[in-house]
Amino acid sequence: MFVYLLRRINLLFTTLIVISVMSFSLGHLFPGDPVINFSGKPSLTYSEYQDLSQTLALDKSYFEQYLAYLKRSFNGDFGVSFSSQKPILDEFLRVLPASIELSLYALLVTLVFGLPLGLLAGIKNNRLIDRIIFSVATILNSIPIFWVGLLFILIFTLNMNWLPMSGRLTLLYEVPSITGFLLVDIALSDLANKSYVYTDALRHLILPTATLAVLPATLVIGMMRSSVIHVMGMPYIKAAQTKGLTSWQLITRHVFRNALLPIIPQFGLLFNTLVTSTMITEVIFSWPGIGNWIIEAIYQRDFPAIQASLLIVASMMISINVLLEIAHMMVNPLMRKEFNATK
Amino acid sequence: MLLDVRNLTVKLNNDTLDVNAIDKMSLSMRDGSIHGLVGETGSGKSLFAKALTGTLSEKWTVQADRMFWQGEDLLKLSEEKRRQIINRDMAMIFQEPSRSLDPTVTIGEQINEVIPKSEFQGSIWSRRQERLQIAKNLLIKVGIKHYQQCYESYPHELSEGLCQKVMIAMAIIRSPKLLIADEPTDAMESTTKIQIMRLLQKLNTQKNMSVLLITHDLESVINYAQEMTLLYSGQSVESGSVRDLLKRPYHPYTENLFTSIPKFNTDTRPKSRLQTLPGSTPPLQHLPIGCRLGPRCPRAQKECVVTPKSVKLKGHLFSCHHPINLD
Repeated sequence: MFVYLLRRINLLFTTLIVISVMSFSLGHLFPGDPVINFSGKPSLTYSEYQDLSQTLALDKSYFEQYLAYLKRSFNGDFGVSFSSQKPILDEFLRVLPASIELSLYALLVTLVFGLPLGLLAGIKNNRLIDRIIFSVATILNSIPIFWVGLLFILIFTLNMNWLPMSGRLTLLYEVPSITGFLLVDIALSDLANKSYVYTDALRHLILPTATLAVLPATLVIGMMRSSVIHVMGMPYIKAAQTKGLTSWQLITRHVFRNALLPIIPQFGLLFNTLVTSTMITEVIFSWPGIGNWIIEAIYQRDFPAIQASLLIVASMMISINVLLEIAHMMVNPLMRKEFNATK
Repeated sequence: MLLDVRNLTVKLNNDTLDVNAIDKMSLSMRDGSIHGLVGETGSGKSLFAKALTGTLSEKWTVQADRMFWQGEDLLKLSEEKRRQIINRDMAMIFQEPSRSLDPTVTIGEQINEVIPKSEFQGSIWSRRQERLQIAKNLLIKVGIKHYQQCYESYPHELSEGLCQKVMIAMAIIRSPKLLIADEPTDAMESTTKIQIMRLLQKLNTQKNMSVLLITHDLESVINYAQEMTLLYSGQSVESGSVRDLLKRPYHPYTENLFTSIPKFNTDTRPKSRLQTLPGSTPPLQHLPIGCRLGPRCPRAQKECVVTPKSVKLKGHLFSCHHPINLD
């Protein structure tokens, strides 16, 4: 187990170093002067330029520059944004909660709908219900997400006029940002009519969450379905049937668990699609999150922001993937068997 | 009579194929006996067990003149009622026991979930303790010395023999009247094999539990079973007490099967061939009509294209037009 952990952590660090090298080299590869790209200050006097060059260690060798860059990154100093001239980390932390909130709800919806539907489809394999679930999932899986978002807006906002089109909240309400998570902030605020604000916030959440959850949910349905079909054919399920368990007991105790465990590492892939989709969804629904911010930065050629977001988002993704794999190792006894056998 | 099955037919319904995988097979078991069900691979032994316990998938249809379990016809009961009776009275153990245990659940939990509620005496608060005690007693009963270790293990951490003992422990907890052992010692070492067989024998004598021993291992049937039924390609060949069958088989297949066992006390010449029937067992798509042994039978004649009726003679039940050893 210790060796395994060591290997995973080694993998984590190696990948992080490669990413930091890429992020660092961007500062030199972007058009313009490296000093400006790294610091984010576009108009400098000659003496300011000299000073910055020295503090950023840009007058030394590439290797020393890289070390200085790493040191700054660890201290959370990514320079300032071209467009707003504020520290990038602050900007990043300001928009991060909105994205996390949205992805979290989407993830929740994905699991709440995806796992049971996949389980149902797998158990009723080749019956009508399975065909319906699987074909709907396949269709939704193949529709591009930006189109789904626009379709939702067209149907539910423009035609039906049921749900708001964009943003997190109607402009009427002003909720002070404390944690950045809207639902928590509303609870912490001293607004008079909280229930109205909550309804409004939830109504704003429905469409983006649904849009974002479509792709991962269909993926989960597919994975769960094939895993359940595989498990249902295993001898231990047949054996459990003869032990006098009801089908409900059989499914909850043996099928669900055995079907879920092997697909846990694939949830990492799910996170990847989730993050990419979050960015697109945020743009469609004008959701003030990271995706919106990064795409804005790309439009405005805000090089320090692009560089920093590449580093931070990629590191987050890799850490989540590695953590998931370690968690999988801990909960799945079969993985431990395989590992101990091949050690 | 514990179990009385007459003319059981199990049909495989497929788009391209419609065959009787088991064709008019009969089997009857006395209370408290070990009954061997013997046949080659693919002769429908396991299929019979599945048809009996009702665990066949929808591709199969089961018909029988009767399938009496202690005087009750299982086929005439509703699905639910049948399940109840089977769960109460029958238990089954399988070949490849390590694959018949849930790989992600510890042995202890798996045993716990089959302990019936009626086993508990104490209040709900002492359940945990009681469960542990019952499970441990069971493990000791089936001859597992390191029960504590076994209780906490996952199936992949145990040997095949241990897994089979755990399976037996789980099977006997409901004290079933019939234990169906589907090739219980397949692919096991001979010492483990003997342990498992002795355990089954002990359960049979001490708890009066009948055992239906499904196997292709003739020797274990001869050693442990009192009665046996022979199957060939889904048709019952001959059944009766093991001793009678050994002494005087009426069906040519039975005789041939017994002579195919290598004997080490007679002087078999080195590198001489063992006695076998010519040809091989027919696949399901190409079953011969009538007596399915027909094309391979040394005594086959014109009448053999008609399925023979089973005849009862001196305690044997056999199906052959031209029986041997009749005097």
